[in-house]
Amino acid sequence: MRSIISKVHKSKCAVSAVIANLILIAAVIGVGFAALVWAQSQSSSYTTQYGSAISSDISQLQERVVFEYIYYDSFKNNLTVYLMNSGTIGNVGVSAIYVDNTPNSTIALRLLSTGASASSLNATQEGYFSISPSPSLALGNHSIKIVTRRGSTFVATVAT
Amino acid sequence: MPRLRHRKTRRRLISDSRGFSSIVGAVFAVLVMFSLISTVFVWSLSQNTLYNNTVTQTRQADLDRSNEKIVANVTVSRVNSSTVSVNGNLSNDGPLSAQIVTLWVVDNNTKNSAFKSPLSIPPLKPGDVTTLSGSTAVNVTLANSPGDSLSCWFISARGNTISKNPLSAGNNIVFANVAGGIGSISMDFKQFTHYDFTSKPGDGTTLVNEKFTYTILGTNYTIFHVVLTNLDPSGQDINLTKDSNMWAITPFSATVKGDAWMILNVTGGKVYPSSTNYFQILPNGNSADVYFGPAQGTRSAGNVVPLNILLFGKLGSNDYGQNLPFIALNVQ
Repeated sequence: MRSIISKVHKSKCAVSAVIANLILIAAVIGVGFAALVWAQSQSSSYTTQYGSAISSDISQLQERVVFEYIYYDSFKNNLTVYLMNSGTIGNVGVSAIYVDNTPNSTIALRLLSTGASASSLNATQEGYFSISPSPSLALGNHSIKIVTRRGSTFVATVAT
Repeated sequence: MPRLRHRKTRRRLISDSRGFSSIVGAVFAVLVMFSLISTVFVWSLSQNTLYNNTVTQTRQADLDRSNEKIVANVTVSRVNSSTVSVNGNLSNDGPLSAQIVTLWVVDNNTKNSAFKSPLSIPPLKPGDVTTLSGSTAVNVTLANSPGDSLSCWFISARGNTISKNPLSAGNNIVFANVAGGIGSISMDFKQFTHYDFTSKPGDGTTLVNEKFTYTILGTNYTIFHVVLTNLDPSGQDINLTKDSNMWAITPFSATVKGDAWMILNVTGGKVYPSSTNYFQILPNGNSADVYFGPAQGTRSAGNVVPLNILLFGKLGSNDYGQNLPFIALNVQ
């Protein structure tokens, strides 16, 4: 047995093949592992993106806003819109309002119950905001469209 | 012979271990790829299920909302200069329970609006009817003047707007019976009031100090206020012309002694007695404040007299005449 071991130690034959094989195995394992990590990160990124897209779509689907009352004061050029969040999701904020498809000024949302300013409405909460449409509204019917922060749109018509 | 060849090949494959690691590696790689892909696939499937469930729930909510049917047989009337009252009943004619959350009232003359939220109306099960009357009537703080036209509507928790429905199918029967018996116009007994003036009020005089009594001073100039509702079953408006008046006659006098208060133009809480050809339209199914006077009750003074409302005018394009003997008045 000892003689065999010393023979292997002394013999230089096929050492390079062993080393080459070892390098090849290490390279294959390394590349394979890198590919695995890359695939995992790709799938993780995909699931994150897809998950947030689905979650955002679901939230948008659950949004429902109803117009309780819209009043236009032609003397003061003041349009007041009273809303209620009748959906099943809270945190519904109004990001834009269009009067006859014309975008209007910044919206200061307030709670109907207290009059306190609020950035959004929770489910079943009622609120209102006032704007000064530009140009002012002539006699007739006008469309009021609000866009929520999640991107839902709700339309109503007001007669002035 | 071919069987022997097959056996030889199999034996060679089993005994020769070359290439085995490649197979193991490939199987391992396939397993890793499969586990990765299947995890993502199952997760995507669960997300899609979540989305589809939300779509279903949202559709159901929209369907419920469109199926909700609340009928509001209510009238909105003035209590005083700062309060209006909504009386009547709300019935759930739909297949689902419903909750009324908000009441809006608007003075159509001044465009002032007010709301009451939340309301103390219990959830209405299918077929339920809740009465808003007396202590359950909904009073809303709203600046108003006598003669103003008031409108109201309710908002349900599902987001439906429930407009005032003056004549529902159920109440039509009762109303039609009343209308068939005494005429198409009814009067709200509880809202009979009057205003007193020591001298005859001129055009533009503001109505103040509304009185809820059945006693007047014969020497004063009195303006009577009643709330009339047009319940005509044919659905037509009634035009009360200048001949409409409120009249009293003394039952104990040997000769006929009568007093009359003619229909009066009251606009924006101010009286205009010089509008001698004044007429007032009662829209079908709606209540309206109607005023009579100013006049003195000198002939009735010292007696308790029956007070009548003589309503004359047009029902659609035909003549209409009705007399309501409705109240006893102490004229001092």
